[in-house]
Amino acid sequence: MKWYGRFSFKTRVFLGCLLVALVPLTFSSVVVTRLFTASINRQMAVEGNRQLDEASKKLTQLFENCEKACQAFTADGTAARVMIDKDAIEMQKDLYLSLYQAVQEIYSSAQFSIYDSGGKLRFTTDTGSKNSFLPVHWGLLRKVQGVKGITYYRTDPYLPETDKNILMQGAYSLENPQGARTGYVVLDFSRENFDNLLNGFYSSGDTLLLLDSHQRPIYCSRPEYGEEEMDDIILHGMTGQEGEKGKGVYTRYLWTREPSHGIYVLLRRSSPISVGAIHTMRTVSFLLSALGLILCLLISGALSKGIAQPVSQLDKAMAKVKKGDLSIRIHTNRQDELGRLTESFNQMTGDLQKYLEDTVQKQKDLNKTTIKLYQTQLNPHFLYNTLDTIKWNARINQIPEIAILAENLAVILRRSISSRPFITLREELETIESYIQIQKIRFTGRFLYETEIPDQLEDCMVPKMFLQPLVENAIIHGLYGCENGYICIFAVEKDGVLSISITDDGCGMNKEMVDWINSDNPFKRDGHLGLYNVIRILKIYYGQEYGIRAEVTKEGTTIALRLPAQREVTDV
Amino acid sequence: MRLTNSTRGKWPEVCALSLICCVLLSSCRPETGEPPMLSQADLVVYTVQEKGICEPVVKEFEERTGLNVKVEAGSLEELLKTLEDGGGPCSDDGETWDVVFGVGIRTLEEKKEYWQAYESPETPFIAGAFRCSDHKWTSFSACPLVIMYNTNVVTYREVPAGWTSLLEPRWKGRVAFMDPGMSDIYSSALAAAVYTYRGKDYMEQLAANLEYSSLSSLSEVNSGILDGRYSLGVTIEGTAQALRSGGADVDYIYPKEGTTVLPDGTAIVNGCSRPEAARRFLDFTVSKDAQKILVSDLNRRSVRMDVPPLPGLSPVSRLSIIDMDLKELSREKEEILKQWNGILSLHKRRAGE
Repeated sequence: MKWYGRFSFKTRVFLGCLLVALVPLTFSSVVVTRLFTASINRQMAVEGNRQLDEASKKLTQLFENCEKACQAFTADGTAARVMIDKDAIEMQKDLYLSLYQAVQEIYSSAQFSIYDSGGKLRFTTDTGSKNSFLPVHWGLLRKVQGVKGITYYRTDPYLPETDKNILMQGAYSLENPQGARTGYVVLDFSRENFDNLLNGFYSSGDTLLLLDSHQRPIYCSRPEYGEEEMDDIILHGMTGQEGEKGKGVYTRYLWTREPSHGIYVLLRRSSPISVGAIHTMRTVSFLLSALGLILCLLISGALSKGIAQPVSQLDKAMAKVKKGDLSIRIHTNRQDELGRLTESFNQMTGDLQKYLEDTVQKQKDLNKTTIKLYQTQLNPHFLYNTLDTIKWNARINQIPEIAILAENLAVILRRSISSRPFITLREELETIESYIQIQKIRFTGRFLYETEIPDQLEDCMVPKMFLQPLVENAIIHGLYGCENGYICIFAVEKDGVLSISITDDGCGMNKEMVDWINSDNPFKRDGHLGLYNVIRILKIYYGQEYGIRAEVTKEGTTIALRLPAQREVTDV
Repeated sequence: MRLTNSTRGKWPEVCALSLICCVLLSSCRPETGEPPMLSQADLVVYTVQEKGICEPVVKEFEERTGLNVKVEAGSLEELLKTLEDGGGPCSDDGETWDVVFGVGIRTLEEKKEYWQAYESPETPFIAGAFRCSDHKWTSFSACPLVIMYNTNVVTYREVPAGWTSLLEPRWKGRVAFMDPGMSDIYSSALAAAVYTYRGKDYMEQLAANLEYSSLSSLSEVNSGILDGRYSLGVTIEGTAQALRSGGADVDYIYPKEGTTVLPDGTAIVNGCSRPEAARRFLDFTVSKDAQKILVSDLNRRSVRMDVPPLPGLSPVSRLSIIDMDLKELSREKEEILKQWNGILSLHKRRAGE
């Protein structure tokens, strides 16, 4: 089975279909043809043997009748006496009468003649001309001498005096009551006699041959057959050969032996189906096989293609996917299992591609943010030192506002440059406090700032500097033009979600802005980079379900952040 | 072969399927033929005689004895070839012959070593000229050579008289003559003609008169004369007699210089497997009944002294027969054949030039 495994799936399907379709067809056609010819052959033999038996019985009956006729004719001894007593004309008439009476039954089967003991013809029922002399030391009359009953003798065709029309002769010794032979009764069996006797016992296509006990031909049902043809038939009969092998239905040679006188009856049965018909049968069966083969090739080719093509397409596409080409799609119109499989493949690659694109985009965004972060870290020590210098100079020169500004700015700067991306909420609030300090100096205390945060939530880890842009927005945009504004940061934890809201009672914000904030994935927008960054950071770090919501009421504006309440940061 | 589990699991099905196929196919096998007729020959006879002579004798022998005789017919050349091949006297399919029948006595004499001696009880009745001194063979029939002519073509005045008539210029190209190299009859005829010719160059004159062409079988000679293509020719008495009594327009003469008689005979093959039947057959061929039929129906001359020829034919003793014994004739014939071939090849060379 190793060799089988080497074939491709398509070839295997193809070969399988071919075998399944072609082998039973060929097999059954061969078997049917052979069964057909075998049954014809068998039937031929059975039929032939029956015909032979009938012919043989007919011959036996003829011989019996002849015997009876001879006995009846010679019973009273008149015939024997007439041979000697030549003058009794009356007796001759009587003799003719009794002769005709005796042979009445077999009149159509044989001609009766009476020869005297010297071989001279005396009486005959034959109307035709006849040899008036038969040799007594040769042939028939010699054979009958010393034989009781009728002796049969195949006419010798080579003796010039023989009547070619007479095929067989029988002789019966005519003896007077004292046992002395006075003549012979001779029976002539001509071709017509045999034709009459045997006609109808064989089919017209067959050939019937009578052979004497030395297997030499007496009679052939076909007068046109010469010695060669007869010898051929006899040879076949003797050797038991089947004629014309290899043509399916053979010519059969059947024989039997007439029991009383040992005459062979040989029947050549021609095949009931002509060679041409067998050829036609064979051709038709061959053509059918060829047609079957062509149909089979077409159908199994189409079938194997139909099965194997999608499979091989999938196989190739899969190889491309393995190499990283996710854009591949297989076109199919099929509604069956293979069609569904192909569609599933297409969907799978599509999903995979989308996922990959998302991941790449996220990575890009992250990179950008990180770069920005790095950029803000430029020369931090220089800035600290400068701010420190400013603070001390302000103290020395008795300008406390500047000292406070410098100090708080340093705090914010330190936080913002810090390499840790996550800090505790407390630290974030400290940063916001510093920022508020600065802004209070800028806006000379026009607003009130307070926080309402439970202590246990102060340990929650949050992204650094993520509240600052919101507070800045609240101060700069929300409290724009307000005297005595109010900003409150409120935090609460519910079901592991930390909600932080920044509320101001300022002038609110326009509808477009609210919609922008509340949209799932807000696009980047000029002038609102801080807010955008916060949204992006929340979405990237925590996922889509987290983010910012804005709400504007009569009392003011509330920006609410949702993020998971985490006490420690596992990974970034 | 390594079998996979699936294949192993299918073995019973595969076996069952193969079994069904075998049964089906074997049932289609054509049945064997009829039992052959038994035909054990009790005697195998090889003959170079034409069927018309051989068959009646064989048939009567079969009828009288009840034996089955197988006749193998062939030509003299085939017989000689078979004997000279060294395989012994047997047919191509390996059946040994018991009797050779109707073969020219010269051939029988030459191939003596192949026959066994048997003295038939009928030997005393055979004419002395046809007896074999050591009983290696027994003669069967005798055929004097005659000159046959077509009575429509040859007028009363032109009737040939003897061997010299064949040289007459009026028959130039109209003499039927067979190649003597192919026929015992014609080599004997040529020998007899040369032997009796008083002048010189008989053969050269004859060859010229034949226009250097010859026929290849006796039947061609006979039919050629019969239908007038040839006016006259040499043939054996039996054939000529048969044609004449059959009403054909032919007649024949015995050459006045003297003719030769070609006897044929029967011999029992040395070491044959059925010697008893062979002896019976040989006895039958020289029996009075057989010899009588030979004369009365088969137009042959009997070798028995007590069987006279048909009325109207002169007995052998009255015929003018040249006086040559077998050995002398054989030698003479060889010499003559050589000369004849020499004449023909000379002519060919000349014609070629």
